[in-house]
Amino acid sequence: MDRSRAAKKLKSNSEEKRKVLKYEKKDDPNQNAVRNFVSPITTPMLSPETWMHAFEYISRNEDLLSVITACPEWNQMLSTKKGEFLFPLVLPLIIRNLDFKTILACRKVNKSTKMAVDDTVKNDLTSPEKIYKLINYLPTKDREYYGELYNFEEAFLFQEMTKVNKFLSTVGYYRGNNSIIGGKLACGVQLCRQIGQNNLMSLFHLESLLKRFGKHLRYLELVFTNCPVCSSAEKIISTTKLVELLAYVPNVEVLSFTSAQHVIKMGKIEKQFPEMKKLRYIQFLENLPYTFISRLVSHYGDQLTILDCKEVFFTARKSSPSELKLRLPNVRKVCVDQITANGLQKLSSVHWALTHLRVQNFNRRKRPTWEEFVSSISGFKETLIELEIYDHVRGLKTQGHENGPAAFPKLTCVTSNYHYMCKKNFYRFLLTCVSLRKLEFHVYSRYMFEADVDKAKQTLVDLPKVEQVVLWHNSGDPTRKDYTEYDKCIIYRTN
Amino acid sequence: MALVRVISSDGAAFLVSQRLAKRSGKLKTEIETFRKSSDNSEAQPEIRIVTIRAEILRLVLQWLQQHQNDPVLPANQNEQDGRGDAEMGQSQWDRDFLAPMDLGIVMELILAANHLEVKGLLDITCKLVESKITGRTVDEIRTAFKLKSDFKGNEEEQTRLENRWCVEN
Repeated sequence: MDRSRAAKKLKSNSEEKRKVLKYEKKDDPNQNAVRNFVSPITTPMLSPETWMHAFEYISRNEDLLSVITACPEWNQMLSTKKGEFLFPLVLPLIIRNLDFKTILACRKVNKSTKMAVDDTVKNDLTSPEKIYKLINYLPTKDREYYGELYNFEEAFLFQEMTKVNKFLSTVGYYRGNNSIIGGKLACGVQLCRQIGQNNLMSLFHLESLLKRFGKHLRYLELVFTNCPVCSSAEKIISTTKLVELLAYVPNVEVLSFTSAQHVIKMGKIEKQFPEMKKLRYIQFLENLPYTFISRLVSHYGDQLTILDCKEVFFTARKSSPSELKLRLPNVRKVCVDQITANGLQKLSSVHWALTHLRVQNFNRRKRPTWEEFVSSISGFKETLIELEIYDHVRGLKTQGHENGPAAFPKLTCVTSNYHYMCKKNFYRFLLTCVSLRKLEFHVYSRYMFEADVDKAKQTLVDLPKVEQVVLWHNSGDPTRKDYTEYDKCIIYRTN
Repeated sequence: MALVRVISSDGAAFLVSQRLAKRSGKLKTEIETFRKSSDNSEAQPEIRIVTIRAEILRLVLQWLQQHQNDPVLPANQNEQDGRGDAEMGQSQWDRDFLAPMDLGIVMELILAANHLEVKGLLDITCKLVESKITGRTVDEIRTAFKLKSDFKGNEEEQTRLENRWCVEN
């Protein structure tokens, strides 16, 4: 018997079996639920009810999606259950546009939807990686929720629910970016019992809030400041108190401390630092006692992957490169401010396998040249994927043909400002970075914006491997409410 | 006219122009990858989409055909700057296109548009699902999407208590 005849016979046998399976189910009055279903041709053939039984053991929604896309018969069998497994998959895609009440309602529908909501807000709003990406000094739309929380502090008097509700309805309006749902609290704290001055929260109310709801927080940003009307005795906070506050937030992943004036004083840290197993990202900005930072970092150092600080942290007498490496072995992303070339050199000699480096501002007195800058970060040459420089260096040239310094083979994205656009020594460096695909420039103003777009197009000509140039610019109209926000313009390479 | 063969998970093949296919970010990347790896510049690319079945793929292509002259929106526009669908209008054609679909099909279409990086289709389908849940009670959402509560014991009460952090003091 030739092959085609054999195949025909096999096919006809399968179809016969399939018919039989279908008709058997039709004849069985107890199988109404599956009697219209047809099994796909498989070896061996299984009845629709056997398939349905097998599908009940599949718990992952993604796997059930694979089942319905595999063949029309399975799709038909699971058609009535699609809502159950597709809704949790769709929810993450629409959640940003839902108001907070609807998001909370979705948490109460069933376990799958609750998990979908919780995972999404966690990954979207409080993931340390995402926050590292968002925190730069551009007030983009993604940062709206930080601003809103300052209003919240004023409103959050526990006796005044109308104010709380008003606040919540306001943040709920912002496309689902309800910070509270995301477990995020960023607030200014004044060191007295006065309430509602300059949109700040009193330390007393902060402590009450943290005691009550602190376990829900995954992000805590505190800016301590003075209150002009109080007695001087109340104007400082001891580091011992800060340690006490940490005990209320055991689930925090991102921790940020800043002091607007020198109001944080070193106290006896009698209490042990509490356990914060999820802490991965620490940000220290202004006026914090070095000893406190040092002790905090020593305690949580093993678990930290992201560090955001000033140069003083690296240049302090006690923090030698080898000690930093020992205390913070897993740091991969660093953001530094007020740094000099020497500071960068020291940072580079720590030999962290950094993938991301952000320089906010250089120390104005010791601003490096471009060549000094690249040389000082060469310690990260083999690992760096993203580099951001928001301040200009000395000696950027519009002409010249000298070769750039050593290449960074893994660097895929560089972000800088308009000072760097079309500068020859900067572009020569970029040409040596074989993986570079994306450039971002902060051009700040729409004034001369067309000229910046022309420069961006020229950039795509000068740097053939770059696929897109992003320009961040101001909306330009001071009368607009969003004047302080920045829009972005993307210039893609077209083939 | 350069063509591309797009094959669904269940084996149905659709022959579409490359110009049309490139309006999907995913298909555009696949076509470019094929071009780079193929010696023959005249060869017809064949792309298998293993996660989308024929009925859904046909709907995506139908939508692309109708919107082939619209400006292309970056797939991640919303994520990056918060703009996008709010400013986008929905045409009568889109409304007629979505009207006969049940929610199961719409949700499959959302996942397909997301996978194929078709921003405009993703926006209108998401909007439809959003409209079915925004402002609804828990029970209404369950009914609309045929969902059952599987909370056991005090799990539902626990969830309600967790929600208090956001809505009550």
